[in-house]
Amino acid sequence: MNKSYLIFVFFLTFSCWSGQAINTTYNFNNIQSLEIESIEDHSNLPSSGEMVRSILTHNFLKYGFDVIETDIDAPLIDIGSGEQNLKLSCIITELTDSDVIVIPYRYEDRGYTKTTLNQTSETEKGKEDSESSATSSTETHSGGITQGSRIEYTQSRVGVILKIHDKNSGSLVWSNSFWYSGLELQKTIDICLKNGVLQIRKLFS
Amino acid sequence: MKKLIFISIFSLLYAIEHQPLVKASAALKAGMYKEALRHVTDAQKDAPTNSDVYRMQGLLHEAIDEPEQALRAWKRCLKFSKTQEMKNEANIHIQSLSEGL
Repeated sequence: MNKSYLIFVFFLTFSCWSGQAINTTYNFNNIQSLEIESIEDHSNLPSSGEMVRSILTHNFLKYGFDVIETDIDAPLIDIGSGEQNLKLSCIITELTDSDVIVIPYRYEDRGYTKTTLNQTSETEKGKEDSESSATSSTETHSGGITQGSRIEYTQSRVGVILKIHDKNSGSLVWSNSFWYSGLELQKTIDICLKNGVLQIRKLFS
Repeated sequence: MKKLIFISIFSLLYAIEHQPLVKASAALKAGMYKEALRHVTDAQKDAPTNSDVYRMQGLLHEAIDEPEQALRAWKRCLKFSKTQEMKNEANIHIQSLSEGL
């Protein structure tokens, strides 16, 4: 019973995460190359299209593909010795490095206890008798909770839609959307596209 | 009256000085990610179920290339998150970091 439940949860989780759309009749084992089309800039950042494409080719190279850039405007990813050629297009849906994150917080003053100990002693010369006295006082502060403050910081968010078309027929054979968040824009784009490239790599394996 | 104002200002300054999240935020804004992480860890002691704190910790660990620690932070973020948006964000980071390990 528990095992079945775990398998069900696993597949449910996987299906929720993996939002890719794929043409199941298409033969991904007969591919020669994948051409990366030029990417339009996002309105938030001029030259973002070129930046995203560079990071995309970087990730293809990083994850084991041969990248051919004889024509800088149309880099080719060498896939295999098949006959079909594919085109990869990318739309930048989100690109921001100033997404404000607000964390409401409360400061908890846990209070404190202060104990004062006064000790005095008097010893007279020649006498064995001595007097000593000790007094202590305890002061307790209960503390308190201050709520209503908040801190802010900014994070980057990147979103892309990747699509793969068959170059001859024009039919859409695969697509998926990805987004990622991080503290630095370039690193966030890199991880976002890495996730895309790793998923595309699975198509050809 | 002067004493009261002095005590109020002193209390306010003391409170700000001893709030780790405020320090973490300042360090993060300055790009001092390791310093920020130290304060975020302190903040967790005061707010062990605050998903926002774990999210901040996850982002900081990722920024300094500590994927295992980031994964742990995002899992805790998912555990304590109350909004679907944050759950989605945590799931995406967990999936991405798990693939990289």
